Amino acid sequence: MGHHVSPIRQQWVTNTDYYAQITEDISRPIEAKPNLRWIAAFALSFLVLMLFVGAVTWTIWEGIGTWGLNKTVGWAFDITNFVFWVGIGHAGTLISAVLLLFRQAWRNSINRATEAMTIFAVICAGMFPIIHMGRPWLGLWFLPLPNTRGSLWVNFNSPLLWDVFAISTYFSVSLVFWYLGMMPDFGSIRDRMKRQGMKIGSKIFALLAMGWDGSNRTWSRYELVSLVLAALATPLVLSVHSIVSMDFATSVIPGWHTTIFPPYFVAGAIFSGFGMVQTLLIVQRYVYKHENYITLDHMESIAKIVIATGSLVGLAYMTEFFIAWYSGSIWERYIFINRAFGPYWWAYWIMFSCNVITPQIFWFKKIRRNMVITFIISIFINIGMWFERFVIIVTSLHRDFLPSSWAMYTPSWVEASILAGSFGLFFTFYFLFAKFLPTINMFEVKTLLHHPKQPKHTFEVGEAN
Amino acid sequence: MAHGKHFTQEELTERLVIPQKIRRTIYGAIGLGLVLLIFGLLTAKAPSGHVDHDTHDTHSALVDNSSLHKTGGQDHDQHEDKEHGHDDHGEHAEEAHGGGHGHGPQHTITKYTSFFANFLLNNLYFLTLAMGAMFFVAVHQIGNSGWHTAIKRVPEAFTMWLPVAIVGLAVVAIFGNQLYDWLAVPEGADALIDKKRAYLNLTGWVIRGIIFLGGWYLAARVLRRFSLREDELGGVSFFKKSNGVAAGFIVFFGFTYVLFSIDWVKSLEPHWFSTMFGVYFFAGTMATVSAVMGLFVHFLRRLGYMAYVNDAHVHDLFKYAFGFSIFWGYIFIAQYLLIWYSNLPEETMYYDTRFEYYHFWFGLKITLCFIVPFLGFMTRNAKRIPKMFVPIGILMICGHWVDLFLMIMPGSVGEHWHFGLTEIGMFVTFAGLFALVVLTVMSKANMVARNHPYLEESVHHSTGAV
Repeated sequence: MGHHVSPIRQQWVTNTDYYAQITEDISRPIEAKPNLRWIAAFALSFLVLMLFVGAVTWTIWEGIGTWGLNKTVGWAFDITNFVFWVGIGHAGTLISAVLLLFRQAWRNSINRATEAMTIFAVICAGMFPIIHMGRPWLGLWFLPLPNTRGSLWVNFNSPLLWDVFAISTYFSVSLVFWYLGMMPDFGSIRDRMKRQGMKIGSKIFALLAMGWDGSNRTWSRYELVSLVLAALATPLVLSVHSIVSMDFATSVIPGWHTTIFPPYFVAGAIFSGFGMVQTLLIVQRYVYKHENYITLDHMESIAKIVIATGSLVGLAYMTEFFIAWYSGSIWERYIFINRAFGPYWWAYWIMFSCNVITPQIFWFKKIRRNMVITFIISIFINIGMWFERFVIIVTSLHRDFLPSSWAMYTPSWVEASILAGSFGLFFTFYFLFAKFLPTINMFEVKTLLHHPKQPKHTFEVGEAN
Repeated sequence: MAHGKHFTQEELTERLVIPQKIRRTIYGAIGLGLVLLIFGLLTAKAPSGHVDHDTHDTHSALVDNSSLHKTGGQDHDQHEDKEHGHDDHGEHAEEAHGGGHGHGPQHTITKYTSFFANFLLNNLYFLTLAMGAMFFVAVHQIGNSGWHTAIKRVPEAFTMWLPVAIVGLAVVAIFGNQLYDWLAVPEGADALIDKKRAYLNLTGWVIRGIIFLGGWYLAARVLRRFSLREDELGGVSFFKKSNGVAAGFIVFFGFTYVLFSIDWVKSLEPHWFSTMFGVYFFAGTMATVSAVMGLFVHFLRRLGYMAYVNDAHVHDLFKYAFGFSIFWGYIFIAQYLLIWYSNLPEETMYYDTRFEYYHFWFGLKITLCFIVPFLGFMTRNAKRIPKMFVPIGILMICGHWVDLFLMIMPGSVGEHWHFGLTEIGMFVTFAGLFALVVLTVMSKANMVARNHPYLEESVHHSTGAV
């Protein structure tokens, strides 16, 4: 964009005039002692994490039999949680990579926190396949490692194995991207801590900064690597959830086997990811007083993405429904009628109203800028997207091809605790991040400052010819 | 690079005058196209029922494959099937589809069928350009994009092709029963089509067509009128009003483009269904229109216009071409892989027909729509240097034609596809008309949206290091 900026162009960071102010605002919480509010929040999430640990221990000790699964519904809560968390993990990389390629300046304030969210969400997701194995100590069998087990080998035809590759690739690239983006900030914090005589802190950040010196050469390498990683990460945004969708779509189960699944899952993942971004950022900007960096304009842009992706998800729901009818296949038609009006009708309509109808109120500018309402809607989106996966998975299974095998599924307390506990795992990580690492990308926000007040124009807006 | 140069209001005021040479070339192309077309038509023969043995064998093998699957057979070798694949394919197809009808269209194929199919193809081809351009304009409008302002009049002019497309599709509709099984086959003859008649019927089809095309054209007109009024009056009010229209259009477009692709393309094979189809149609649209816009802008710059457009704009357009062709590849493989993997006969039949009679075209499609742009546009310079982007762009243009050919022909003419003078002639005629319409529309207004609030950003656009 250079120095020529339209007078009507949105300015993202306007209430801060100095670079030093930004460094101070972002670094201070890292250097200070944790405040009471943080301790309380962290303690609560740690408690919930203990619930997770307890429920998982019980599952592994006693076996998968502690869950509510039956012969007909052999996949339910566990895989729902898995897909839910992978989905949450999509917004971060979209913001850091795709929005970078699209030159969206507003990503600068929010990329750090959302990338962190991505990584923690993928960690949560990764737990579930391991738990579901029942014998997690055999988790290494996921990998095509040379072994002495004879013909026992991973099944390359299985989309579940593709998941292993897709998610581990995604996780690695996201982690590297996230870490790399923090290095310049680590350098700044290291130097600040040194000046303040914080010996241990400055040592730790010196290690983390890996000798960042802020020289021209370092910066030019940094920018090149960022772009290469952004280009690598962009297809990954699409591939991960496409592969996840194939866990279902490669089957011949009506309601699972449908060709639109890959892009539809990706749209849903971005949607749910942005829902979670709203939830977290609203809390963060309030608790850390980051309103000058994560402004209402940022929240408005996020809300616009939420409408777009929510409507895309709605379009996909309707397409599926319509094509089920259009196919003329009795199984397809039945499964969709059953989804909406069968025994799990309530789950379907929770999904539909939370994902398609609620976000539509973001069409109003006032609501996009109202943080209380946005927060409530974001919670609805999180609920709706969890139910989307539940609906897809359970309603397609519970009425088997033989009516004698029809069954209902009810989760046991163990499964419910694992789901609740996974939020503990997520928030424990997130609060640790929010306390000990820079939650906003300091140097990228700095690039948004100091635009010329009034660029020299050859014409004035509003002036005829 | 124009970066840093200031443009005065005089420099930003320019009208396109179509040079005589170009005008003559276009008329010549249209004339030549028509001659080829007429000659092709005169020499056309009614398709014979003959199928050569090689393809017949493969055909039976594939049909066998799906019918066996249906009766429970799973892991079997295709080569084995080839050996005993000499039975009459009709019988097998009947088993396979359950609907009582085999591969290929059920309507009578006359020597004009392929003409109408070809006419439909070209109408859709240029309609996708107009609609892709419309989507481009609308998305950049609501995305607050600055960079595209300098080239905005090009996609705007593309959208003004819509009236021609509407006339063309109306003609197709009149002769619809030449192409669409569900229009040609009487009620009661095909159980599966009968199940869909609530949607696939003449009245509904025509009404939907009017709503879709009318709505798109209305939105295109309004956006263009706002844009032109802004040239005269300035101010940001037109820009702000355009936001609402663009947002409304995108929502309308999302739903209608999916249904449109079903109505006009997918329903050529009314037994087959795929939820992905609309997305696939959209992906091809966007990849092609990006390349065509890039070539058009390059062409206008070569003529000496648009001094305020620099390599960065062209670069960005071909970035889109690159990105969307990857997206096309992704959508293609996702649809194909899922159908292949599940191996359900009601879905695989779509690819069966294509593998049997269109094997060459299938490979050509993947090459031109994905492999060429993917490898070709990978580097930065390829998107900036005409020696690279012109040939790659032209190959992409051909690729979209092949893609539509593969979507349309198997359902309308079955195995009797034809490629020759008629096809080339018709495409050349349409391309000439399209160029004429777009250039004429462009000549009616200033070449650049000179009072657009983001124009200053756009004329100083730079992609930076990448």
